[in-house]
Amino acid sequence: MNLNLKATDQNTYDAIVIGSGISGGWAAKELTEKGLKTLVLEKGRNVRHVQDYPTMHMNAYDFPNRDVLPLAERKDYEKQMRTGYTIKEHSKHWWVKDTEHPYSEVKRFDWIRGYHVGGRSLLWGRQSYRWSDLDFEANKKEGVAVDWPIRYSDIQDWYSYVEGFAGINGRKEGLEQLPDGNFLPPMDLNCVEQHVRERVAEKFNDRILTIGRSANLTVNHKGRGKCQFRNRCMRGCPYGGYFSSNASTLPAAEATGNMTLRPFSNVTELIYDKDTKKASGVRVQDTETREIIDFHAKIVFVCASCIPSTQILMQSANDIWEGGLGSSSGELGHNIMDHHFRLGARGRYDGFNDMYYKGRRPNGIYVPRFQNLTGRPDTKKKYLRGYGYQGGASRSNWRRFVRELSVGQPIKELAQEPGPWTMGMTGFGECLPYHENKMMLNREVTDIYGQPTITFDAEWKENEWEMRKDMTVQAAEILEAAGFKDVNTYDAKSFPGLGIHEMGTARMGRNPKTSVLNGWNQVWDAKNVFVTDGACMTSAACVNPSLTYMALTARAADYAVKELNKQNL
Amino acid sequence: MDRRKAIKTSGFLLGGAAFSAISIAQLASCQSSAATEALSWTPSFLSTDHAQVLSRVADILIPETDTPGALSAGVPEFIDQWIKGNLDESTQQQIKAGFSGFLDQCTSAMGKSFLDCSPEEQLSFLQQAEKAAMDSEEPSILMNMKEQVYETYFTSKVGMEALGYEPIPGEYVACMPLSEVTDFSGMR
Repeated sequence: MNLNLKATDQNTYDAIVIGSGISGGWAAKELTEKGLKTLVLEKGRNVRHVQDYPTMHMNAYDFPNRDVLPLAERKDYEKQMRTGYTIKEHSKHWWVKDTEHPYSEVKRFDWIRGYHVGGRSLLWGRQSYRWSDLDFEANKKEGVAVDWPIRYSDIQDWYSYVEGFAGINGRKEGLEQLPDGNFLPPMDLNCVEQHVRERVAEKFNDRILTIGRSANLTVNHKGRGKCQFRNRCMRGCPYGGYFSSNASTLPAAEATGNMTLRPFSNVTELIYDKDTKKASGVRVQDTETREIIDFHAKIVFVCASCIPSTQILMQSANDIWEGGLGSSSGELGHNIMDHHFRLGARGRYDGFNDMYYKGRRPNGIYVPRFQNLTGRPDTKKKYLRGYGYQGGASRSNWRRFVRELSVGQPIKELAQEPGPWTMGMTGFGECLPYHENKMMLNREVTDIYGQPTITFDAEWKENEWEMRKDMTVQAAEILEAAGFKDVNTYDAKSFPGLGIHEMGTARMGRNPKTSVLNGWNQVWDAKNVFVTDGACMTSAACVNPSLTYMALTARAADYAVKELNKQNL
Repeated sequence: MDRRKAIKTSGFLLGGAAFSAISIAQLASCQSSAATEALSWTPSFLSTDHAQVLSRVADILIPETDTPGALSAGVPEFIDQWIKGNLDESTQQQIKAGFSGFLDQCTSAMGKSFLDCSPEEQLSFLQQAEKAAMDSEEPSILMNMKEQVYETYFTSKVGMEALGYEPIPGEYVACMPLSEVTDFSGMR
């Protein structure tokens, strides 16, 4: 064998992080701050904070097609457009083209993602909620799938730590099922939302309405500017007003001098050493030159997001395990989860006509889970787990004139009065982990780089369908109890993936025979490989998951460095 | 300009009956935008007749007053381009058929082409057609035009400025007396 020792030396780091999104950014920050020379590999292009947010200051009329993607370009984004909100002129550059990065579906699965430095941390909904033991204990108590190897007490301090850096606004409510955090000042509820909060407190003993907890800064924080209430987060924020890798963790990692960030680096596999039972590094395809390059490190953090991280494992150590690294459990690629949503209720509120608001708040209301609570038999339901509601109240604008008799009316003047108050609530429900809901490697269909692609086979099952019946009913009850008129329920249909909360394909557990990762996010079959993104989740809870990825990543990085120092890795 | 004051003095608070009267007066005094006027732009999708219909309807829906209207905001030419660049062929054909049907409907109701009607007759026909469209489940080109004209106008620079659009609010005031509000551009 010919060894190019110099090249190996040049390509050797203390740590490698695959991916630069929410989890990868945190891994980069923590590992570099602890002194590790760290290579951060990103499949897509570089995105520099502020300089590379081309649409951040554009108004609707500044876009040639008023922010709608022209017909001719839509064929490139057939699946990415399924959300209805991701592919606009202001945001299309953040998402993959389905024509370049295809995937296959046995059953409909909406896989919405972008490849660039920062990943979906630039694009996320920013809702940030802690899990509780109601979530961590659920699998065990109900005999579903496998038990989480951790409990709230294992992660509580890490939540505080990541919240302190990221900047999460929120209001403390003292709920057991939705623990309070280390919050920046909350955003305010508007008049009608405040009214609903008060009515809910009066009329229900199982639920509350609070302001959403979001990763938008309500005060200047750690060198980043506070939110200016433009509600243009998805374009990238010139003030750094919300948490993204680009605005937050990557600059922190950069400041240590220990980070090497390498865009256009598509990791095709982990290089597994069967003698040491560890990964010695990663194999990268440079997507610009198509050159194959190996990089080496003592530890590897796989943070490419749920599906790609699992794909990388599946493509690794195939000479030992046909299904890839971590497949010895029989669970790699299985148990895929997402939140089911897009249903709830809407209504009109007659009142507060002399009140309005100023600013476009990038946050809404939250009704925390109020079903199947611990020690509350009165909250027991026919289904397992539960859901929360997100939504908000607003006054309608000029769009209402389309549905009214308006020909001959002085529209310009009428539009200077807001229309009636309306409020909508959308349920976000927990999905159970099912072994048969899975992703598979597809070597027949390849992407633009000639790499294998993914086939999905997943669906909601009886527990989700049963829960969904309740999700519309309870939303309507809340609005009716608060005095809303014309309350309508709706169900706009939800398919796995559409929540963009993919989870579970390399789950944590207590037993290598039934899980891919241990309680420290280490791959059982390669202890120096850590997977800390959505792939690691053993169940889904009903709250938005990103804050938990941050906390798990920081916790795993801390553990990894301690183990390294003890020479255990 | 003190926007609140402008609203109050414009008279629209007097009640619904006043609206039509104001609009008709405005239309009657606005011969420059009458039907016979040639288009100031070249359609890229619509026929000249259909483009003139769209222009007249846009002008009637959002006329020029002391603030710019749909024509100053370039609404009809934007919609013409929009149809060409954003709608599939079958929808485009439906739109063509819709405009032809609209012209036929006007001819049978008013005894002459929409483009030959006086501004008062055009308004009167549009109001009848709007009522009929809203009572019906059938697709209506007038409803499409309303939607497109409002959408295009209120997302245009002049339209958004007319509503006091502030790109950078800088703060969120959750509950504010309506009398102190300056930005009515909506929450989108």
